[in-house]
Amino acid sequence: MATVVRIPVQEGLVAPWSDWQRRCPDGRRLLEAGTYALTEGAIAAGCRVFAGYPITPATDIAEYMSKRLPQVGGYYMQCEDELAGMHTCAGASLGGLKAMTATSGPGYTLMHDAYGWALTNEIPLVVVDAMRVGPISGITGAPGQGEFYVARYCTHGGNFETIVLSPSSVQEAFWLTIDAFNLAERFRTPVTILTDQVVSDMWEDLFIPADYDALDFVVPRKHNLMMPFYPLNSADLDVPPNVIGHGTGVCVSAYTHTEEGYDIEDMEAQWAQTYRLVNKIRHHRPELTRYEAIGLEDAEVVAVAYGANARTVKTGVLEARQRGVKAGFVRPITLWPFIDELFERDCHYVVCELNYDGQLVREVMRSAPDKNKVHFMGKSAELHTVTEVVAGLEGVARQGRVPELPFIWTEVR
Amino acid sequence: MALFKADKKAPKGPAGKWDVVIGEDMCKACGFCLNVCPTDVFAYRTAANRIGWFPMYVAHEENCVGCNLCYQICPDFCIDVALKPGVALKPSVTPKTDVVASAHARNN
Amino acid sequence: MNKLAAKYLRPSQIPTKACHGCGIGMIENWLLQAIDEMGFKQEDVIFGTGIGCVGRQTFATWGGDNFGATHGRALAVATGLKLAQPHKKYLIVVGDGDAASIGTSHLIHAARRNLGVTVICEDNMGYESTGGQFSPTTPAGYVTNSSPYGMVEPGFDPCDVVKAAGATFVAETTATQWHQTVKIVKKALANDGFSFVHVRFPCNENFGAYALGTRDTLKNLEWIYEHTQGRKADGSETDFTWETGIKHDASNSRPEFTSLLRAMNDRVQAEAAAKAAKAAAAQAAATQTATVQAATAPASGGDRSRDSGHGKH
Repeated sequence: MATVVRIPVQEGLVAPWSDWQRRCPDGRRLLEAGTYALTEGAIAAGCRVFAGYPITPATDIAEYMSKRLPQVGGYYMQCEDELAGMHTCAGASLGGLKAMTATSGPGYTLMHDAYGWALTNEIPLVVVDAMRVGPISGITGAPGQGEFYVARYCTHGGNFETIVLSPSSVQEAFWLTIDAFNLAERFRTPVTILTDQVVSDMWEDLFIPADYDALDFVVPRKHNLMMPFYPLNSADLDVPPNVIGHGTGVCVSAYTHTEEGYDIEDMEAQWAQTYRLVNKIRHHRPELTRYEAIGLEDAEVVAVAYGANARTVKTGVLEARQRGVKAGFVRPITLWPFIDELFERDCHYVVCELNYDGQLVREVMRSAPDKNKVHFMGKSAELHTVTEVVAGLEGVARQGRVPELPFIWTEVR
Repeated sequence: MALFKADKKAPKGPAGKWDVVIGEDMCKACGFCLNVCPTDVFAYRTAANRIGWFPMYVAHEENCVGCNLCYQICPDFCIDVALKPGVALKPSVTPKTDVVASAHARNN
Repeated sequence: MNKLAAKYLRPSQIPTKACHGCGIGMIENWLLQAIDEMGFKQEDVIFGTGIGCVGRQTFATWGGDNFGATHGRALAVATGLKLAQPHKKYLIVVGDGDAASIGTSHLIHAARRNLGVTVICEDNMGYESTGGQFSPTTPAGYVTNSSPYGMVEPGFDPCDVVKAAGATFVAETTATQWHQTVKIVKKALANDGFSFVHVRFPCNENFGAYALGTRDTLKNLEWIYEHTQGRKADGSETDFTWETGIKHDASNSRPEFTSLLRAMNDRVQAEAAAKAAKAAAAQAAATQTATVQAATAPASGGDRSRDSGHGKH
C-alpha cells in the first residue's frame, strides 16, 4: 500500500509565498509586530472566528482579533479556557466559518482533546502556538522551541498525521498564515503554526496587500453536502469540509467512525479511517513542503534551525563561509511531516534549537546518513549569538565537534 | 400509589377503538408497557427476537382504552397507539388526561 | 418504530445501544414529541451530545445533523456552531458527568452568556458508562462502585448552578413525568436563550445494581417514581424528594448571546461606513480646491486603524 513520495531538495526559499508579493501590486509598507502579521494574515485568508484565551506572547493576537473581526463581520470569543477556545473554533468551522486560535505552550497542551476531535472529523482550523521556555510557565518573556514533538503528537491515541509550519520573520508570518489556512482547507485538518516570543513580539518591515478580496491565492471555504462525509480508505486531497446546519444529516464525533460519521468498533473501520487521516497528508507531501536551504552543494557542515533563532544561525553560516568554513544552512518551514530529504547529504549537521533536551536534533539524527555526525547546540531563553554559531561550525569543521561554550547544551543522550 | 399496577382493571370507556402496534424486533423486554397498562393489553412472546430479548406483543388489543401510558413509557420507540381508522371518540367523552387529548389531536 | 421516531431518527441506529429499561430512550421519545408539537423539521434542529451513556446512546440517533463532542465539551462546540449557524435550534443532550462534572465550566459560561441552546441534562446519578462510579449528583450515603462505604462527598444540583450563572429557563423533571417533560421542553425550546432541563432517570445495570441492590427494571423505575412523589407505595416517606417543575422562567427576557455579537458588528460597521463617507466627502471637497492630499485610502475589509489601546504606540 505504500506510496512513498520523495521531495527534491533545491537551493533558496521553497514556499508558495515566494511569488505571492509579486501578485499583489498595491499595498502598504508598515513597521509591525509578528502578532499583527499573524492576525492580518488570518483576516486576509478569510478567518471570521477567533476563540481563545489570552496568554503571553500570543495575547496581542487576541486583542487585534477583538478589534478586527467585528470590522469584517466576524466574531471574537474570549472563552473560559483554552480547551473551550479550541472546541469553539472547531464548532465554528464545522458551522461554516474559517476559525483560528492562538496560544502558548500551557494553552496548547490544554487543546489536545479538541485538536484530536478536529483531526478525526477533518475540520479545518489554524492554531498558533507562540512557544516560550518551559516546562509550564517557565520564563514567560523568552523564546523557546519546546513543542516541536508536542505539535506532531498534539493529541492522543495515535493513527493520525499533522501539519506544522514555522515562520521566522514578521513578513513570513503574514504569508505563512494565509498558507496555513489554505492547507487547512485543502487537507481538511487543523494546522499548527509554531512561532515563539521573538517572532511574535519583534517589529519588522511588513508589506500588507491593499485588497484582501482580490487575493487569488486564498483557498475559499467550500462545503461537502453529500455522502460520504468521511471518504475512508481514500487519500484524496481537496475534499471540501463537512458542514453542520445544511440538513445533510452529517454525524461528527470523538469515535472511530463510518463514512456517515457514526461510531463503529471494527478493526477494518480503524484501518480505513487511519488510511484517510494519515495518507491524505503523507501522499501529498509536495503540496506542503516549505523550507529554505543555502550552500548545500558543497557544504561540509550544515547548520539547522527554524523559527526565530534561524535568523542568527543563518548569519552565522554566512560569517563562517567568510572564514573559510564550507558551511550550509537548512531551515525547515514545514516541520511536520518532517522533510527527511533535507538531511540526506553525508556531511556534518549542527542543529541549533531553543531547548536543552533536544528535539529537532533527534529527527535530524534519524534522517541523516550518519547520526554520529549530527551535533547539538541547544540554548534556552536567548537566541544563539552569531559568535556561538560560528564557533560551533568552525569547531565541527576543524575538530569534528562543537566546542565547550557557556550555556550551550551539546548532549543529546 | 405505585407506578406499576399488578391488578388490571376491566376495560371500559373507549376500549376497542385503538390500534396498538409494537415493533417486536426493537423491543428489549423491559416490561414497562405490560406493567403500566391498566387493562392488560400486552404479553411476552415465547421466542426471542433478533436482538436476543423475549419481546412484548399486543395480546389483547381490544382491551386498550387509549391512555397512551405504554407509548410514553417505552424506552425503545417501539409502540404506537392510534384510534382505529374511521373511528371517532364520542363527543360526550371528556378526555381524562392530557395523554388522551394529545393522542386525539395527533389523529386529527 | 413509532411514528415520531420514523420521522426524526436515523433508522440504522435504532434499536439504540441503551440497556433494557434505560431512561435515555424514554426521554428522547419525549424530546421528539416536543420537537414535533413545536412544528420543527429535522433540518431545523441540531443535536449535540457528549461522552458517557447519555452521550453515546443518544449520539447519531437523531437523523439530522448532530455531533458528539469530547467529554464535557458539547457546550463549547455548540458555542462555536451557534456563531456560525445562529438560527438553528440546539438540543444539547448530556449526562450528569458531562454537564455537572467535567463540563461544568462550560455550562456556567454558556448560561452566563445566555447562549441560545437547550440543555437536557439526563441524570442517572453516577458515571454509569464506566461501570457505576459516583458523580456530583449521587445522593448522599449511597453505595456505588467508587463509594463502597457510601457516598461521603456532598453533591449539588446543577439547576442551582445554572440559575446562579444566569440561565433564563431552568426546570427539573424525572423519568416518570412524561407530560410535564414534554411541556417543559417545549417551553425550553421557545426560549431564545439558555434553557436547562434536568431529568433524573433510572439505570438498571449499574446504579440499580450497586446503589439500589437490583437490576429489576420495574423496581428501579418505581424508585424514581417514589422519589418524585416523596412517598413510597406503602405510604411511608422516601429518604429524599426531588423538587420538580419549572424552577426559573425568565424566557426571552435577556438578549441571546450571539445576537449581541451581531448587533455589535452592525454598529461597528455602520460607524466605519459613516467615517469613510465623511472622509470621502472631505477628500472630494479638498480635491475641488485643487489641494493634493496624500490620503491613506481605506482598505477593503474595514478600517485598519491600529489604536488597540494597549499602550505600545
